[in-house]
Parts: sequence; structure tokens; C-alpha cells
Amino acid sequence: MISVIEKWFPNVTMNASIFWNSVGQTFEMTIIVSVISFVISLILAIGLVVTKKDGILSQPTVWNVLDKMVNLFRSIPFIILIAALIPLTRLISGTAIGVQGTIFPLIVGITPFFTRQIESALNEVDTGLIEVGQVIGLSPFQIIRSVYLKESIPSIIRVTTITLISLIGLTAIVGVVGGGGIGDFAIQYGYQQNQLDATYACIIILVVIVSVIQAIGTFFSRKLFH
Amino acid sequence: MSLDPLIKFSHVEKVFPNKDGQPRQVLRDVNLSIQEKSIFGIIGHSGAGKSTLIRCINGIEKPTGGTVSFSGKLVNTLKSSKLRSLRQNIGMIFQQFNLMPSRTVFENIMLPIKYRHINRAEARQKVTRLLEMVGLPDKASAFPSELSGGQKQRVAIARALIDDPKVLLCDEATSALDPQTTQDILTLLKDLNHRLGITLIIVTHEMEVIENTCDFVAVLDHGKIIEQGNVYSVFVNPKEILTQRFIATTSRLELPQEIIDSDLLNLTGKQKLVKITYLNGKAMVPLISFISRNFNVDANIVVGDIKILQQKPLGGLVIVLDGLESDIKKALDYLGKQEIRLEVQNYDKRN
Repeated sequence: MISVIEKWFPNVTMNASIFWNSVGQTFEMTIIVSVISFVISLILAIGLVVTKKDGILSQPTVWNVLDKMVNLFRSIPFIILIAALIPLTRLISGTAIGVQGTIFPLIVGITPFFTRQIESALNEVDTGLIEVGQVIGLSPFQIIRSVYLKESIPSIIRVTTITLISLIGLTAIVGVVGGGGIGDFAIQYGYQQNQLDATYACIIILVVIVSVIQAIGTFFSRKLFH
Repeated sequence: MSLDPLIKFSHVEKVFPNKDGQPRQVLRDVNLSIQEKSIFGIIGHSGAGKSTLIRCINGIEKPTGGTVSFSGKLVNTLKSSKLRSLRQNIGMIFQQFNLMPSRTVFENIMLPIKYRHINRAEARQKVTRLLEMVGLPDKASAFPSELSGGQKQRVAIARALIDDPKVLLCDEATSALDPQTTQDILTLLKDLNHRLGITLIIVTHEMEVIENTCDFVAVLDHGKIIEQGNVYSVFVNPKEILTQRFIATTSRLELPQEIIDSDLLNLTGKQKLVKITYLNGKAMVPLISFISRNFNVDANIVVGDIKILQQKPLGGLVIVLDGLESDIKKALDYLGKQEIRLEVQNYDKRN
């Protein structure tokens, strides 16, 4: 087995510890960014849903500001966003390179997408159910918790899966600007040193990670759907 | 009617602003008084404003003019926290049941009191009692997706009753159900009215629901109440064309044109097709034999229908009168003086 890997992936075998370190960095970035971004996105998405025109706390001005902000950040290509954010990233993280320097731009890059995803999951909740919440005398906060969130758990899991997969894509892009992770490895060894086996190893590991995330997401989304 | 009504609408108006700049008036000068413990029906075609009207009672919709009061309190000026406690007195059920799909039957029924400081064990017992009352004692742990439409509506009724409300608003509650299930749900609602004294407000587009269930009825047309009153008197003597049309849907006295045209009746020019509707419950007077004996006319009974509405008979006959023109006229004059409604139907036979 090992000899087969050595035969097909000579450069990866030579730099095995760097390779696995990159995989670890990808996980590190994905987990930290997804947790922080999930919290921010959830708050923004709830904000968008409740303040919309016929929402339970309708505030058209607030909705407009949130909506335009999300659109603004969504329209900037990620690679440009990273460059644009460099001064701010340095201010917040102390550095603009390495895993530490990528967390902030990744959060800014993925949160608008994540927000839209969760917003659509919350909007799938039947308006009749929201009306029930009002009719039985629940407060807006209780409606958010017991109707919006409770009824959209399977959808939120589904969109979180989609977002995680997009996020892994973004963590590879930060490799271009020296961000670390699998993308960084693929560029340094696969692209710049023309070691094609390094590129393929990165592809294989990414396919495996994405498949596992998708399988877990599908499993829980189905299990919780009635 | 010296009692103060439980619910009172005074000159209620509702105008929805429209995106196209053209505002849409949904309720026009609605005046209603609903007595405690009564069963009040509101009938109208879809788009007549029924759903908006019923939602003014629990403040889900706010009138743009006039006032709505509940137990003497003005609903349309209540602050949101006061409105929420008011809503605990007003249960509501819907056409699409609106059960929470991710919660079991038990959790659905508990939802209205979930955030209150309550005795868990007592609440548990109450849910069990309610499930028995609506006829689903063994479904506590089922999910809504495992229930039939009628069962879902029963769960929704139990959920609406958890707070011991004074009123149950039923918004087209039987419109998604088959006729047999509709009957079962209406029977259950009537039973709850008798046993608990809960006031029912039933919004529907089906006159049969009104006929089977309600004490009072209001007919809503384009946001205006065009007729209202005791169900029996409205059925016996409907004034508005729309009301008559709604009642016709429940009556077997309406002869389809096909039958009038067919050889079945074989009407000739001098015969008269006459519809008699009994008023004031006087269905037992032998009118037909009297006119045939005294005016020398033949009276052929084509259709007869009688039913009991609010313990009083309601119905009539469709007859064909044959004989000399003068005799028919005399018979019709006689009938016209009786406590019945007489309609000489036109039968322009199409050849």
C-alpha cells in the first residue's frame, strides 16, 4: 500500500508532513470560520426575515440596510475582497498571511452567502405557522425560537452543508495569497514547482472531505425531517 | 338581546395599501354583535373579506377605521403585550390546520403554554383530557404527518382549547375536508359549544356549514355585511340575491333547467310551475289537497323538501298547477294569502 502511494505520489511522500499539516490547516480554518460565521449569519438572517415588509417585527429601513449590505459584500469576488481587506485584516488579526491572517477575510467572504442561505431556509417556514405563533400569544422572540428556528432545523442543516463546501473552496483560494491549507500546498508544490502529483493529492483529499461533509449533512437533515 | 355582546364591530373599515398605488378596501362599515355562547357564522365568496374580518377579533389584522371590542375592551388599540394576553382568550383554527410539523401532537397542543410558569403535571393531564375530548386519546406521540386531515383539525382544536378560551375562531376550518369529516368536525364543534359554552365564530363559503351549525349568520359581500340575523329567519326569508343563491345551494327545491325543459314535466302554456316555501314553521297545513278540492285544479307535486333547522321545520314544495286559467288564478290568490312564500317560476321552454 505504502509503496503504491510512494510510486504514484513521490513528491507528496517526500513532503508528507507538510501535506498533512496543510490538511490540518484547512480543517482549522473551516471550523473556526464556520462557527463564527454561523452565529453572525444566523443573527443577520433572522434580522432580515423578521424586519421584512410583512415580517413579525417589520422595520423596512432596517431591512433595507441589511439587505443592501449583504448584497454589497456578495458582489465582490473573493480574491479582490481579500486584497481590499488587507489593512483591516492586519488591524484585527495582526497579520494578513498564514491561517491567522485568513480567518477574517474568510468570515467576511462567506457570511453574506451563509446569511442568504439561512434566510431562505427561514423563509421556507409556512406563513401559516408564523400566524399560529401570533394567534396563540407568543412573543416575537418566542416565535423566532419555537417556530422559525425549530421548524427550519432540517433546512438550516442542509444550507450549512452547502455553505461548508463553499467555504472549503474559499480556504483554497486564500492559498494564493499565502494563507496556508490545502490550497496553499497545491499552489506551492503542484503549481509553482510543477509537481502534478501534489495537485492530484489535493484534489483527492478535497473530494473526500466534501463527500464526508455532504453525507453527514444529508443524514442529519433527513433524520430530523418529519 | 339586552346583554352586552362579547364581540362588537362598529363601523369597521379595512383598507390595504397596494403596491400599484391603488388601495384595496377589504371591509366596509362592518357592524356586528356577537353574543357569548352563540355560534355565529360568516359566509361569503372567497375574497369577500371573511378572513380579514375574523382576524380583526384577535388583532392579527388592524382595522383602518371603526372599532372592535372584545369583552368591552377595544382590541384595535391594545399594545402588543396586552394583545398577546387577549389572544390567550381567543382560540383559532385554520383551513390548513397549521400544526407544527416538527412537533408531536402532544408538543403541538402544549405550544401555547410552553413559555408560561405552569404545573407540568397538570398541563400533561390537561392535554390528555383534551385529546380525549377531540377523540384522539392514543395519538399524543404521533407527528402531524402521520395523521389524516380530520385528525389534524382535531389536534388543532385541542391546541386552541389549551388556554380555556372564551371564543374559538374557525377560519374555513372544514374547507379542506371531505363531507363526512366535515360533518364530524362540525358535530365536535357544536358539542364543545354545548359542553364548554365556548362562543364559536365560523367563517365559511359553504351554506351547509351555516345550516348545520350556526345560530346566527352574517352574509359578507365585497367587504360589506349585506344581511344578518337568526339562521332560521334568514333561511326562510332571505332578502338579498346573494343570500338566496347561497341558500339555493343547500335546497333541493331548485329545479335545474334541464328538468324543466325535459319531457319529464311536459309543461304546457297554461300550466304553472309554482314554488312554495313554508314560513314560520307551518309545514303541516294541507294546502295542496285544499286547493285541489276547492278550486278544481290539479296539483302535481314535483319536488318536496323538508328539514329541521333550529328545531323548526324548513322546506317547501315545487308543484305544477293545471286546470282552467281562472281556477289557477283563484288557487294562486288563495296561496298568496297563506303564511308561505309563493314563487311562480318562469319556464321559458327552450325548443
